[in-house]
Amino acid sequence: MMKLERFSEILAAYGADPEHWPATERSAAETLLAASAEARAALADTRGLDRLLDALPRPVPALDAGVVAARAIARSQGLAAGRAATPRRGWLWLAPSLAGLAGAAVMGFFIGWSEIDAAVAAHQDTDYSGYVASLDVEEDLL
Amino acid sequence: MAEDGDEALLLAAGQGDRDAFGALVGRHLGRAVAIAGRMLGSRADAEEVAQEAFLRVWQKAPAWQADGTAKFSTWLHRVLVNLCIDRKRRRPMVPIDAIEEPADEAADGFDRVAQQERQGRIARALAELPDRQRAAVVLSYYEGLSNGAVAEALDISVGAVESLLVRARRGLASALADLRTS
Repeated sequence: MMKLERFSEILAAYGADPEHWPATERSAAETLLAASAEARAALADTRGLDRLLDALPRPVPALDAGVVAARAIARSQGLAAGRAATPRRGWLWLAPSLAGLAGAAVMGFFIGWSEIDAAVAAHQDTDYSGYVASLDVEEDLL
Repeated sequence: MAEDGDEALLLAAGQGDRDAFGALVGRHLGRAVAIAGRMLGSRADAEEVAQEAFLRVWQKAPAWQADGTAKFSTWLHRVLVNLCIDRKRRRPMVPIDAIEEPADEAADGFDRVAQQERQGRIARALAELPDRQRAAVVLSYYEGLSNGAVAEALDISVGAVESLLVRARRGLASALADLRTS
């Protein structure tokens, strides 16, 4: 026979209505209920909370099922149309960025190359007489 | 079509059969709104969530695997619970009106107000439970799903379902203690 402890656990979880009790334990619980005054007292106590919970009405849909189905299909088609209107670009969405990057690289290379030319030209025009003079000084120190 | 199971209707819907999809919605809309309504405390929100769930059903239908391992209702309940939890996290306030109540013609004005206040308290107590506890109570107590079905919908063990239910009912009993004695 089911123990009162397990019966109390069932009440605590599922309430007082045997329809809510686990199907595999319902018969044993009802047997205990018939035999135990304590079990019946526990059941009566549990009914108090059940009555409160049962006072909450079951929400009933105001919408017709056909309307809900039609709306779901229409929304799905709308979403699909939205996706179709947005072209699938794959990697092409990167193209503008890549073009800009390439342009910047070419410009950077050109500017950099021009500055190297200018630096080389300037370097070639440098007067090394002072440097030669300093070498002379060092040589004098030796 | 009346004898077709959910999975047969879903497969037909996946092939573009709108009547089959309508029949599937017809079978599950009431429970979907009931679950979402008790999860969210608002019928308007519940209908929006149910609408979103059925949009996903229509989109998912073509890819549904008819191998008998997945049950449509379990999948739908999981989608509903997750949508409700997401929605509640984005908008955590409990609606004041809770769930619209059918007018009790027999009750006079005073009794009707008292009844609405009582229902509002119960709805708020439910709404203040942690998400999974609330989902367990809604699916198990209110919708009468088996422990196995609740466990699958919440992706937890059967033992964990019972534990959630115990904690949920304890929390509800505590929050509503004054109503139980009145």
